[in-house]
Amino acid sequence: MRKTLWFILTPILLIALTIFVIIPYIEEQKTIAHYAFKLDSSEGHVKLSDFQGKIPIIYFGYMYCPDICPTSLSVIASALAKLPKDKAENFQLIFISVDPNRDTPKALKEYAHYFYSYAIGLTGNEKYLKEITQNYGAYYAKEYDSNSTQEYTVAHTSFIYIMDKKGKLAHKLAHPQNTNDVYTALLEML
Amino acid sequence: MLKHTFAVYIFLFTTALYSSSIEVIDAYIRAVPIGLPNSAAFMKIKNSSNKIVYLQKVVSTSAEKLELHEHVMSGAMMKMQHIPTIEIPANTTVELKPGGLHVMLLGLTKPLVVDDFINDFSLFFSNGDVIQLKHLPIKSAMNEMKH
Ligand SMILES: [Cu+2]
Repeated sequence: MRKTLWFILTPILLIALTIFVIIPYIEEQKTIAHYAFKLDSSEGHVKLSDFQGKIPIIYFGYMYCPDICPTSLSVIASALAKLPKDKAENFQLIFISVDPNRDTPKALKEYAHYFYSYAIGLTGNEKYLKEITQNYGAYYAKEYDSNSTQEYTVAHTSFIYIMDKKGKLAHKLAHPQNTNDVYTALLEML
Repeated sequence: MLKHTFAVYIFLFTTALYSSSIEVIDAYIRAVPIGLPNSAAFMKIKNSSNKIVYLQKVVSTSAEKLELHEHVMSGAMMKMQHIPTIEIPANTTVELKPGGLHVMLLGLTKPLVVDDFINDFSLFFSNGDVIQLKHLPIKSAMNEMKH
């Protein structure tokens, strides 16, 4: 009798285990891998998984950007500054330059610090950056404006990506100009 | 002495404002990290006349070149581009602000440090008005957020 019960229960348990534990686990690992990256900082390679346990805030831009990037970084920095210090420490602001020709890891470090003391600046090779930005649903393109004296500018999407502590995407904020929008999103993560 | 100079600046500034139909309000240049070549200036331009006026040119020694720029969406991307003039319709205030219109400073000739000032910044308009800003503040992007 007992044997028959096990005979019936075991496959049910196995199916339940697959549905409720194994498949979600595999799916989660896939998502984490989708957003994973390994880029260059002035101190060497940095992986997204290096920040496990922290909440990464990721922004793609370029240093020569005179307006959109400084505005977005300032909005994020102001939102972080509104949090109590012990709460703000949960976040890691990461600026990723899509213009590695002009933005060196060393300059990016200073640039990121300028906006937020705990921010870091990263970049990589062009091909790899295309791949990562595509994974995040971010886009950019060099623009050569013959009417302007600038060598080139970079048109780019202006999303703020807030990741969860495991490295999955939690929020994608579209070009927020308002500190409170970002602040609200940050609060939700705590 | 300092106070005195400041008063003179205010005087020069306000005479420039009230003598014409064009007013420039809340103008500032954005501070940028040292070493970066470009920045932008923002302001409100008020046209109290009954005619369209165009901002045609900006001259300053703070950068090698100054251009009028706008942001446009290119798909989901924000794209900055050079425009020949900025139109100020009759009896209207046009705002040059982050994410929109701006005066682009290319090839900065001096570091733009917060709380410092640019002493020469002249705006040329199609109606012949020239507005000279002699005390243009340099503000951090952080400060802009506060108000
Ligand atoms: Cu511009």
